Amino acid sequence: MNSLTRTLSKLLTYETSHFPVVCSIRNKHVDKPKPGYGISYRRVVHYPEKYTVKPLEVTNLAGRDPISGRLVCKGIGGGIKHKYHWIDWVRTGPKEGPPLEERVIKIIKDGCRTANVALVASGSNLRYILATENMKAGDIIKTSCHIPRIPVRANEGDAYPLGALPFGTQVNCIEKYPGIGGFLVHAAGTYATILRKTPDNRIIIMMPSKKEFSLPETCMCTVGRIGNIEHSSIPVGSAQKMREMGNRPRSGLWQRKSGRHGRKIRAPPPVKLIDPKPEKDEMIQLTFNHPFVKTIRSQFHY
Amino acid sequence: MKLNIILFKQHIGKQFKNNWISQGKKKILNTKAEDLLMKNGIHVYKPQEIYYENKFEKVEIVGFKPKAVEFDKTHPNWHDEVLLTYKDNDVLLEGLNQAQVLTNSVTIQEGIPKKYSLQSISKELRKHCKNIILGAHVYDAEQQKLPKRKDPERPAWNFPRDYKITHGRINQLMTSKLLHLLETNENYDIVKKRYILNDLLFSFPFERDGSLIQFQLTGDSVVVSDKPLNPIIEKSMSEWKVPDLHPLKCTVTLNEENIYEIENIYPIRKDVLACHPHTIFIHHDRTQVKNIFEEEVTETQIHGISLMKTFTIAASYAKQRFGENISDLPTPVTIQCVNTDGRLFHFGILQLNTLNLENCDNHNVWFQTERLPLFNICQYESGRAVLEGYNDEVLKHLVSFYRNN
Repeated sequence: MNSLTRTLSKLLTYETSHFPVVCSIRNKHVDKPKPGYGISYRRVVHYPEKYTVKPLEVTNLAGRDPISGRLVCKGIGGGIKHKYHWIDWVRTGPKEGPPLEERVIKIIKDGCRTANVALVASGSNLRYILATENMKAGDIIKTSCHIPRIPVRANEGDAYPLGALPFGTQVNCIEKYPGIGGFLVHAAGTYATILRKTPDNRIIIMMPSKKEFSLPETCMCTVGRIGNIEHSSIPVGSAQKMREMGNRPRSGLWQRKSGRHGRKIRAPPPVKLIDPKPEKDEMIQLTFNHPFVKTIRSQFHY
Repeated sequence: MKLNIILFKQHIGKQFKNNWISQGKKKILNTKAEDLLMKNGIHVYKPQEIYYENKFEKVEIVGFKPKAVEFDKTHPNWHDEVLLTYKDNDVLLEGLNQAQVLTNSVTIQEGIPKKYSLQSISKELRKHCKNIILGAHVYDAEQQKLPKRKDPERPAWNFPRDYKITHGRINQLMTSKLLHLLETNENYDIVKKRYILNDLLFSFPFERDGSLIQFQLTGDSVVVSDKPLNPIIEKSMSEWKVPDLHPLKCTVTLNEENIYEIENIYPIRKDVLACHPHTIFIHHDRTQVKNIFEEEVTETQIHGISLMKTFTIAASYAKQRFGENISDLPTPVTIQCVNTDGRLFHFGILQLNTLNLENCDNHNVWFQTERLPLFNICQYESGRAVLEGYNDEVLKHLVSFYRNN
């Protein structure tokens, strides 16, 4: 009875002209990102301010967008939690003079990626890089940014600009634009091949997908093929193993062999010129998020 | 009765709402109006430059609890100059080689010097030693939850949690009981000159290649005697060289700290009769001592730990004995060390000749054995305590170390 009087008294205090509106929180509009634009919805890594070789803690997302909390990517969830080895993608060396030398301390199996990770040290710095095929503890690897007139004879694991290496060299961990750090070719057993040079000081490489990319000659890359080659030839083995890897059961609708999803053979695309993207136009979000509507029916006024 | 409003299929409100959402985002077009205004001398402000949010003034409130000290630049011990420290649970990347460079030590032979004679162990002593092993590893009453076990072959498998004796407790029991065994079996003339001190803190700061370094270490059990140990080698060490670490620096994997106090600590007063360190016992706790990159600690890294600890104690002792600014010592300081994880024992001897660690003409000398197993298996099997593969060598080494003057 008490609550009823309280409700009635509330009704008296409000303006009677307005119909009480039930605003559904469930139907609130939330911007949801689309998967496949370079953001991983598998896990977030808690990076500290300063680079460290201490394996980092992660939070598994199970395919959810960490901002809105909504499911973005299906089929992810569960599995073994792995700590993240923070890889130093930027391998820069001296522009002239003798190259920077680093020693491989250990090759480490990483749970968060298919490739192995190499712990390397020089001076009093330690860092992780991606391990190449034949890299082993005790190796000395070199890094230099100098592009000589005659191509260098590089050893596996060394990092040089694309322009410093002879044609036909297998490379990995290639920069898209000079200075941003290794971006292309990271997966186990993959490599790109340096094909030819163009007059505008660009190098054309063939990616593992056989597509051809044209990159500036100052882009750094690591020589050799990424290690853990047998990864691609090892079957997952069991459904349970798939769950351990953090993948949920598929729908079963995809049929590779039946021809249901078609078969397409196309001519290879032309060489793709990779240049820094122009800056995006500035967007503003208007903060008033309710429409102002003048309708006859008062219940639409929300 | 339906409580909420009717959902109209043709809902003009929804259409407006969707429209509002899509139109709420606006791309700012570059109309070049800004350039034109600038050309005419009119400055264009951004709204953020003029519009400020309400700022609240902070009021200091006297709380009932003192404020926690923050570990940042406001800390009273903050220094801009970085201190490189080496502490108990740290491991050197390159192990013994790096420790040798840091401490300017050379190894001139494998194994311990010939001066140490290893005598056979009596049947009774052996029996006591076996009882000590069983007492520390199996019979002790401690039941603690141990860290999780993981099998790299089956990473998803969860082992049942172990409730057993902790590794630290095993180390402590082994050392104290073995020392007790030595004391009860040794000649009284020797025993009365030796004292055992536990958990002492040693600290040795120094400067090298322009960087400040400080070793802060604890001696888990330190045997002190009334006389310093005699030096092992008298000849000059100039023809020996410390290992080459190229391309690494010797300071790799030392901790970088800004909040610190530089202290020179040798915890035993000079006027105490037995102030001379004789043997230190180091407990290697697998659950505590870890690499910064969380990989397994290697054999050479454990050797490095032994050398670093022995050096810190010897150096802080030498500073107390010969003065703060001593470089080449008038008489060498010799200290023995025993590093144990309860099963494997590592014996080392350091002769400290110089505290000038960048000196190429005079070096300190380090002797060491491999890690010797005291036994192979000591555990419950089918409900019975089993001890297999007992090795006399460890006790022989311990006795000869204890007797050495």
